[in-house]
Formats: sequence, structure tokens, C-alpha cells
Amino acid sequence: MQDYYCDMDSIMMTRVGARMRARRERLNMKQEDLATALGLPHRQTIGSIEAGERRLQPAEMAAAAKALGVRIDYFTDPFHAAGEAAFSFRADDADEAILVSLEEAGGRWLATYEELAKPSPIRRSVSLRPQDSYEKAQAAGEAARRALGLGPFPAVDLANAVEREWGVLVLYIDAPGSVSGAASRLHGVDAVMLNRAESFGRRNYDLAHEIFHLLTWDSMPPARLDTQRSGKSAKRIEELANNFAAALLMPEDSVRVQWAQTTAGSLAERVVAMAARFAVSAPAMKWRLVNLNLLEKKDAPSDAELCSAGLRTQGKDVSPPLFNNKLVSLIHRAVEAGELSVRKAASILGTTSHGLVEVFRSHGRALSYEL
Amino acid sequence: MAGPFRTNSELGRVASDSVYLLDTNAIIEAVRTGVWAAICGGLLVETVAECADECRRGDQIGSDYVVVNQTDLDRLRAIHVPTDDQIAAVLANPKSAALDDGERDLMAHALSRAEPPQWLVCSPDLASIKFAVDIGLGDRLTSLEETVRKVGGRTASPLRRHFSANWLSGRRTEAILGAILLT
Repeated sequence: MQDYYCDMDSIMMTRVGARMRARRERLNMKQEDLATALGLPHRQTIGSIEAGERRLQPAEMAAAAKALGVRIDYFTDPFHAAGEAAFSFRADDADEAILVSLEEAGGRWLATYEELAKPSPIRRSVSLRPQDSYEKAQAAGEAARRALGLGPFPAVDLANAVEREWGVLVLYIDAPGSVSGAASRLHGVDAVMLNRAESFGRRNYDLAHEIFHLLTWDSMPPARLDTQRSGKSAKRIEELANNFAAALLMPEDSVRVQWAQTTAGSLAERVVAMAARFAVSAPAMKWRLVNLNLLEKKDAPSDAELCSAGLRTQGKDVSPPLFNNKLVSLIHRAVEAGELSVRKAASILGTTSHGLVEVFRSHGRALSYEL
Repeated sequence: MAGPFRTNSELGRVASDSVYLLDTNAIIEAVRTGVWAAICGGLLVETVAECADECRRGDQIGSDYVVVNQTDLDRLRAIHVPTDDQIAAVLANPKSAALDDGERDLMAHALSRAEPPQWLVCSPDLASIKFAVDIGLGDRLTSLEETVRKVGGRTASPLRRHFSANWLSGRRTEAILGAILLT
């Protein structure tokens, strides 16, 4: 080996230490055992490394990766979440392998955003508890709408507003149909991942629902899989989330005014027209009208009738571009500045070099490399 | 076609028995432009296992997907597998996070080489250039254009801009100046 060696900086030492400790604890491995694997005489040395006070030497890093069963760059790569990201999926009968794959990929996107954007660690929260009423959840939804500066039809600008005002990263992803979306967290980054193949209305509802989980993560930690929730309390949390989402997307005053003005067509067509106006799904609109006593439950059109009316009156949904303009712009800037190689950037986004160019192009960015 | 090549002061700086360490981008571009056999025939061309794997996997999106097959890879003089210790030495530098696995492993192998023979690195990505300059390997960098010139080869189609000597020279200078300004 030549006389090259670069000391880790303090940021990296902290990262290496935290990741080593998290991995060791996950494996229920004692510091003594890891010290032995690294050829260190004292367990206190492991304590110092984990506290970010002592540098992990290259040979020790290689030995630690082997002992802890991880890739060698597990400890150092800031563009990898190293199992630190938490997820709550909105999914039906999703295959475990798919969820693990989405966690791995999503963790990389969040870690990359954190590394490149250095977002503020200040986080929004809502003081709701599982025993609170649906009315309180609805009031929180309306308050969220006002705080985000959204008008009478909030869904149209909701994604931009939560990103701009609260720093929530809204990522549009390609995922199997069984997965609608997810709320996720990594350190100071809050994110919502949405299956971009879903309809516009469904995506908006999922976004509002997941925003509830982000705002109440500490007081009501969401399950990894929504559908895994069992028991009264867990079910109630989902119902609170739905009430919050309905009030956020379909403000009562606005719904009352619009319903009074939407008089043409059959009942199903009126509901569909309202859904289009508020950019939500027709069933979500129907239940909002029922809950506001603007529509009798017995008179409410069936989902089949709404679907039929929707086919007659609605245009085709257009999927948004993959990922998120802010994240893609940050990656583009990093590549152009030589802070990420083209291949590394492509691997972060789970694509090839040519796929990366397409992602950039879909967000109005050109790459100065000729690929 | 005469090609866009120009005289470069670095030509002849190293002996012809120098080892040329090429990364995935360089190998794919050499195959695409039809000069792979010529440079492997005239020079000692080597890579690392991760780059060879990346070449095999290819970049399968896009109309100009380049097939690098086993016969192409068999032309290499050697495919190295850096040890975990060698990779860890590179990972200790925070800036190594900018590189993909193949680019990182090539640097890890390069740093572990003893001389002779002399060796050069062809890794035409701005992040690779900045990293090489940062670890003191700036003068070891060479472009694919210079490599082709070394064997008197001609490309079937023009090399893309970031494989040229001019592009490398400009980016390397910027990286050196950037490093100076930061110190």
C-alpha cells in the first residue's frame, strides 16, 4: 500500500460509530465479542468507536463488516440509510420481499436527500392521541390546511405545500399495485412515498393520510404495515387519519358551497363532479358528503355507480414524473459538481446511466455528460 | 475518419509497458467505438472485478445499449479483486462516497499497487477525477483518447466529450485549483 491514508473526519466518525452500535445491538452482540472479532484487547475501545471518539482503522472496518454481516461501506456511505429509516406502508397483501426492497430503496432516497439538502431538524407535530374524537382529528385537518396556506381546493397544491412549508419530501415511485404509499422517517427527514400509478384522487388521499402519520408519529407510532394493525386502538388511529385527511382535502365550508352549486346531472354525476373539483376519489367525496349530512347514506350512489359516472365524465389520469423535483435537482447538481459520479447517482435512484438521464429530463434537467 | 485527436504533452511520459487501469465507463466506450481490441492488444489493460461485472450487466436502457461480452473481457491482462482492507482504506476518505462500487474498487486497487510497472488510471467521471486529485493521484489520470493515441488506434465513431484529453485536462485543473482554494 502506498503512503496514502486519509483520516476520517468527525462527521464520519460519528456516523461510523452510530451505525456500528445500531448493527451490533440489532444482533444482540456484546462489545466484548465485537472487540475480539476486531482483534482489540478492550471492549472499551468499541465503546469509544461507537461514541465517535476513536477512528475505526481500515483493517478494523473490514473486520467489523465481516463480524456484523454487512457490506463494507455500510458504516461510511452517507447515501445509504443503513437500516435507520422507519416506514409505515399503506398496502394490501404486499409481499414481504417487496416491502424490504422498498425500504432499501426508500432509505437510500431519504439518506441522499438528508446528505445533499441538509434539511432543518425542526419537525411539525400535532397533539392528538388515540382516544381523541374524530371531530378533533377533523379540526386538526382543517388547521393543517390553514397552516399550509391552502385554499378551498387543497389537494391540487398539497404536495408542493407540505414540501415548501414543512419540508416533507413527497416521492412518486413505481411500486406494485398492492402498495399505495408509505410514510417514512430518517433522522430529520420526513417523507411520503406515493405509487404514481394510482389515480390522482387516490394519491392525494394517500398523501393526506400519510401526513397524519408523520404529524402524529411520536404520539401514535404507525405500524410498519397499515393492514397489520389489529385491535381497537390501532383501528381507531387509522380512522382518525381518515378523518384528518377528509377535512384537510375537503374543507367543510368549501364542500357546502360547492355542493349547493353542483346541481346538474344524476346524484352519482354530482358526486363525481365534486370529486373532480376537490381532486379526490369519488368514494372519498361521497363519504365526506354523507358525514357532513349533505347526502343521506341511503341515497348515496354505490361505488359501481360512481365508477360508471366517472367513466362518462372524467379524463385520463397523468402520472407525475418519478421521484421528486427537489431530490432530483439536488442529485443533478451533485453530479454536475463532481460530488456524485453518474454511476453512483444512477444506483441511488435504482436505474442505469441512461435511466438517470431520463429521470433528469423528466424534471427539466440536462446532464452535461454525453451518455 | 482521422478522429479528433491532438498532440498531448503527456504522450510518451510513461513507458509503453505501463499498466492502464480502466473503469466501466472507459471499457464500454472503448467497445462502443471499436478500439477495445486495439488498446488491449497494444497496452497492458487491467480492471477490477466490480467494473467487469458492471460491464457484463450493461446499461440496458436506451437505444445505444453496448454489449460487453466475455470475449471482450478476456482481452484484459488482469481483473483484480481488491481486499476488504484496501477498500476500507479508500472508504476512510469521506469523499469516496461520491463513487460507485466499480470506481471505488479501481481506486482501492490502484492505491495498493507497487511499482514497477508504472500505472495510469482511466476513470472519466468528474467525481472520480476530483477524488483522484484529492488522494494525490491526479497525475496518474489518463483519458481514453490518450490511450487510443498510444496504440495509434482509430475509433469507428467519435469518442464522447468526457473521454477526451481536453476534457480530462480541464476538469483535473479545476479539481486541483478547487483543492488549493479549500486548503
